[in-house]
Amino acid sequence: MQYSVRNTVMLASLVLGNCSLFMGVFAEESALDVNPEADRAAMVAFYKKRFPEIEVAEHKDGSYALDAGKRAQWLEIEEFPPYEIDVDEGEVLFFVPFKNGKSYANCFENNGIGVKQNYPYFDLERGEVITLDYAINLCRETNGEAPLDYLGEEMGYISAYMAFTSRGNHFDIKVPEAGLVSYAEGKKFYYTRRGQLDFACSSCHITSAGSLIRAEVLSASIGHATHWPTYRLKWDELGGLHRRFIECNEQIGAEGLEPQGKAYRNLEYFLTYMNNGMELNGPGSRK
Amino acid sequence: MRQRSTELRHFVSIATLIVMLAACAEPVGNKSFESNVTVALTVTKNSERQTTTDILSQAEQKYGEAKDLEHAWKATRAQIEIARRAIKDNDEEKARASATRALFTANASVKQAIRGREDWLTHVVK
Repeated sequence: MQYSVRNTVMLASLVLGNCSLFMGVFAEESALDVNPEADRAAMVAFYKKRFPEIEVAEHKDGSYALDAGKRAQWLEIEEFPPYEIDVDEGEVLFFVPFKNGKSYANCFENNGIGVKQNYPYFDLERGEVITLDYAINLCRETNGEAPLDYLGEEMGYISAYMAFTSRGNHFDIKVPEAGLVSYAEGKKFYYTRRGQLDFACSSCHITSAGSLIRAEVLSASIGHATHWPTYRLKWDELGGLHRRFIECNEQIGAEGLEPQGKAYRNLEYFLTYMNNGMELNGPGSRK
Repeated sequence: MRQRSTELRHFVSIATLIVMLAACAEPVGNKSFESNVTVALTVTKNSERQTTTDILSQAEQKYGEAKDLEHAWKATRAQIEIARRAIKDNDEEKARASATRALFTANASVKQAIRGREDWLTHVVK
């Protein structure tokens, strides 16, 4: 009798041990078994359930889609947009010829007008994700010019102009098979906890979306890529999405990473894919 | 009688506080909590035997590891800088305290990175 109890316990331990081993294997597999469209559909469904009274398309306005009072204030700010001069500066800079006589227009499809909805994309030859800001610097380097500071004014101006010409277009990000690893890396970044607060992007923008963090409403990720670069009142200037990534990471006690480094470009790739079908309304203004 | 009632009130307050703290505590089975405690104890125990410079160089090495994993914490860098400055100023007490804190946060950040390799999947929206 004693033996049979001991055997049962041993058998149970073995079964449990194997179960946990299999679970480990499944976890590994699900990391590799990437399906961007299923991810996007799941995220959209999540926000539809979380905010049943808000149309998915409205999330392009971020937290202003979630709070009527803040939205009213924001719309008033948008009557005299603080980024207007930046767009004008960008237009001038965009057409200034490089030393070799070419300009930004030569580097982009449709001369760079109304193309932001296709960025970021996975470059099959280079084997990496190309964001719009990264493409601006690649264009400069190809034409013998020094790259711009990704957190600097000039990059903000040019990017703002290109975003402005893309207003009203809808994101159409593609993930070819070769880009799945980069997409998966971006997805992993989004869901991985970091910093002393042990927060992931998803901790605020999935788990707590719609809740208040101090006086701010946490926005939905399906509208996170639509409005960049953005004039933030707390920055008192225009800044790009990677500047915001750095700020978010620092707010949770982590060190920000290199702007336009591989990790943030992959994150932007994942995040923008989640925004597929959303209308671009950049440059934007935020508190 | 009045003194007894005051004592009773104190007892009730302390008991309430203990219950509240227990309710706020991490669950017993939480691995990260256990590992953080283990890290803290190890750091403290080891640091008693080591020089401040040893602790600081271990913290710097771990911080480098966390940076390579893209998981470094701001607090580690800040404590390392404070410790370096304190060493220059011959403030042994401050240097040791900051170096120990830096080593603790650096260890925690590396553990977080390792844990996150699989843990992230549990947060994915499905």
